[in-house]
Amino acid sequence: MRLEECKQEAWICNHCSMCTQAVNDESGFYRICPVYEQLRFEDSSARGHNTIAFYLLNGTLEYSGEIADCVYKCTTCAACEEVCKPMGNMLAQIGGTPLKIAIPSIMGAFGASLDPVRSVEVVETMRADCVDLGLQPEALKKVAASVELNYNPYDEPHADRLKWTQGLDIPRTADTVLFVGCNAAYRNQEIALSSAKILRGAGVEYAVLPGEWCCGSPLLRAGNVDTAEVMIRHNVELLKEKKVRRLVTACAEGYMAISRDWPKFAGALPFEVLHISQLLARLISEGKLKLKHRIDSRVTYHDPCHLGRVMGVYDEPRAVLSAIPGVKLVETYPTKHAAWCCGAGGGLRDTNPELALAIGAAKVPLIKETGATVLASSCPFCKAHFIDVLREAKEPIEVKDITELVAESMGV
Amino acid sequence: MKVAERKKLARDLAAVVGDKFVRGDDVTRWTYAIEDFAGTFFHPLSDKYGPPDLVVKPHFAEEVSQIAKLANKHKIPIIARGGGGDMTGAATPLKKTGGVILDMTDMNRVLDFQEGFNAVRVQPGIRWGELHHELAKKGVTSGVRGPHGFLGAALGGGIGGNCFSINCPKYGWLNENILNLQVVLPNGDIIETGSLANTRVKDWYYRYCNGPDLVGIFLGSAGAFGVITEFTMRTYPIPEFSDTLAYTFPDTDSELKFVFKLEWHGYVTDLWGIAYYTLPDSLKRIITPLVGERDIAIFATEAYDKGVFKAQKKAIDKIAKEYGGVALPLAGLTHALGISIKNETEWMGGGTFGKVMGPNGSDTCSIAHLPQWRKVVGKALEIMQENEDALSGSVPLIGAEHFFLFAQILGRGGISNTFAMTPADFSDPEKMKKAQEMYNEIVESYMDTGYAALYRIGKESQFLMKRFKPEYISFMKAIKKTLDPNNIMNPGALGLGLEEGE
Repeated sequence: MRLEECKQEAWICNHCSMCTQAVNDESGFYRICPVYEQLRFEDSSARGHNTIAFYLLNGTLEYSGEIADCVYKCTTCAACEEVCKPMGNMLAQIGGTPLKIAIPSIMGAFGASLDPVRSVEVVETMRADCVDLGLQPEALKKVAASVELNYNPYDEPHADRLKWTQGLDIPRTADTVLFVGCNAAYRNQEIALSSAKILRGAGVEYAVLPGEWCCGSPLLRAGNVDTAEVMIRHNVELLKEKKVRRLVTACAEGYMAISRDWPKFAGALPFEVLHISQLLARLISEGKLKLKHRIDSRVTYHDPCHLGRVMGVYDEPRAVLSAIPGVKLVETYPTKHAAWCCGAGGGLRDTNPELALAIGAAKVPLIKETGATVLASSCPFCKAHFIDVLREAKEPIEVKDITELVAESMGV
Repeated sequence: MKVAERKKLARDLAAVVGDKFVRGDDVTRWTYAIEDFAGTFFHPLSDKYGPPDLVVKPHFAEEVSQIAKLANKHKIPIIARGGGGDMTGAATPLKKTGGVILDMTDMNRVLDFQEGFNAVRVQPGIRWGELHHELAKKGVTSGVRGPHGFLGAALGGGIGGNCFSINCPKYGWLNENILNLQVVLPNGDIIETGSLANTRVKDWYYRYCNGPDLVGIFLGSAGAFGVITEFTMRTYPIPEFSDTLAYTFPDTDSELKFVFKLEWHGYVTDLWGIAYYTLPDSLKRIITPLVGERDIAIFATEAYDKGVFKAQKKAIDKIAKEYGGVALPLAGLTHALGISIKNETEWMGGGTFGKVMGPNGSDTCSIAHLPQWRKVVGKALEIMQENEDALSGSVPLIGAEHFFLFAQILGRGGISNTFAMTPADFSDPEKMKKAQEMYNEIVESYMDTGYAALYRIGKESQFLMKRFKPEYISFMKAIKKTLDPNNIMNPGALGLGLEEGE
């Protein structure tokens, strides 16, 4: 049982209920678990998952279809982990986010730990056990099968991966690579196109790689660890072979997987990894990105969970949006570390589409409250999901990726 | 409970609350078989507790009433549960009785706010953080701020478990702030207490009228006598001026005298007292170069008026100096940084303490009378020192500390909370067993001093029943028998509701 690796997590969880449903005005949290908010029983919270892990480990419970159903009802949004950071918010108040990040790192060097309970890892590990036992939901089995066959989760031919580049004449080798990711390559190609045009417009020499495979993130979130490892090893070898020095992606999922997960399988990466918002913020501050055209809109930014909470990228997307002439950036509350998930993550959109939509719908009133006419994000999955959510809600709020807004302002 | 019986009961319950709000699957049931791990030794190591037969989520008092009637018909216990943060099994079924958990967290609304009377009427499933959020919109505070970081804890559980709280020295414990209750009795009757006992009263909340104070027996009763479905608690205007102050003292006696005087004068909102000699060596190594071998009092003070506030701080300084107090420059620092001891942001809260002494940092949830506090703590320290080899190192503290004794001086009336934090090695069953025995020994030693008490009893009444007068136990049993002849209300809570010898 892979869950044996999480024994300490199962014991160290205090079951204090913060991750279930908490509100804390001082640290900006207004409710925590998006799935619990919808389903309202203990088994749909991180605490509930940790309890299940505890009883699986001591032999009281055995894996079953019921358990699989439960552990796959999680968006892996990591809000549970954010609120579980002991003293984290106190440290942030004393010395801001840098101190919050630095102190645990310093302690870590001495072998001490103030990490939160890694509840998402517990869920993903239970999912991996479900995969081993054949208990994975059918929708995700299909995703994994497609990735094995086509290197993308959409059952699309691998040969079509760079179809969107036709006529753009993008090089196949360069120090910088735009790692497109499956979603932008096959489903939300406007993000891939905008990214490509922006980079060219800013004078960045970059390449796209026909040999790019799935980054592995949807597989890791769903518990298909072994298939993910194949994808990751292939991509790392490819990037090493091409002597890539910088990898840029416009996908929040991909950015998290590449930065955080790839090294676990393939060791330290010999290239810099950037989310495109980080590169754009850098180019703007260096004066290399000319944002000429006004976009007179009230825009609110949705923090993708895996870019924000997990990877700590909050400021750059906001800096990019604020630099666009005419954009009035307004915050949704709760925001940043406490932002509500869109509902699409962790494979929930595949396994429980109605629940995923309900989670997204819960955020609509918060977005409306800002008076924004544009909802910007920096994750193709969040974008696609919010388009569905807002269509269902009949709300005339436009959903755009930040790359689309930047490309529009650049006039490329 | 047999499967067929469970299915029948589930159907009956679904007819009351709707299909969506009844669960009987194993996964759901087991996630309700455990509460706060800070009481680790009570829960996962104990074979006393088990999962409920069913979990049901009521939304109205009338539904709770019908559920109680069904419970009598089926002779099945019902156990009300809020945030699931109790450390003494209060909302976990006993394995031998099973039962239906009433997950009250959907009964979480603010029903009425009476500005003129400084009171708010809420449902018991409301969680502390949510209450603060709602009250802040009205410009008021509940005074007591919740159980130290457990902002996900529900207030109903706090009432049933005698919740002490941040800001207790000034505002009293949660239960000292309760004005009225609406309770579903074991037979399904719904009663209102105090001023609301008069059916003509709709929105005036006063406790001490219309006869005896019937609120009291439900406070701290862990749901043994009924299910609270609404309650009224006091609110207070939010003080405009507040600060965190700190002083060191040459010894614990001086510190205690200072604290008492501070309380008598009403200057202290919340206070943490650290007794130097109880600290683990790692903390002593940090503290000694900074302040010497001295005790430390860190506390919040507040006022509504700037002039009063300034004068108050001056008076505090004068009192501190009477007892050899030396001001720590913490006040200016914390003020500049915008933090204060009364800030509920995970301050020594749920996550923090347990994890610092984790895994399984267990808290003895005991209070002691301040003048006798050294006696209470001294014995606990001895026991922990004797049993150190049974305890694992604290993971966050690099395995350096095997136990940690910490005292919080809570007031009012000189009450302190004593944390005996004892991390146990979950990978070694023998050590776990020994740690559990040690934990019980500590609690027994507290009780034997006569100056300590468990503020929560839950289903861990074994420490108390042998020390209660038989007449007292008989009195409680008589109340239980009268109200709950079928023992459906949380059997085992307060040691009541079980057959002789069980």
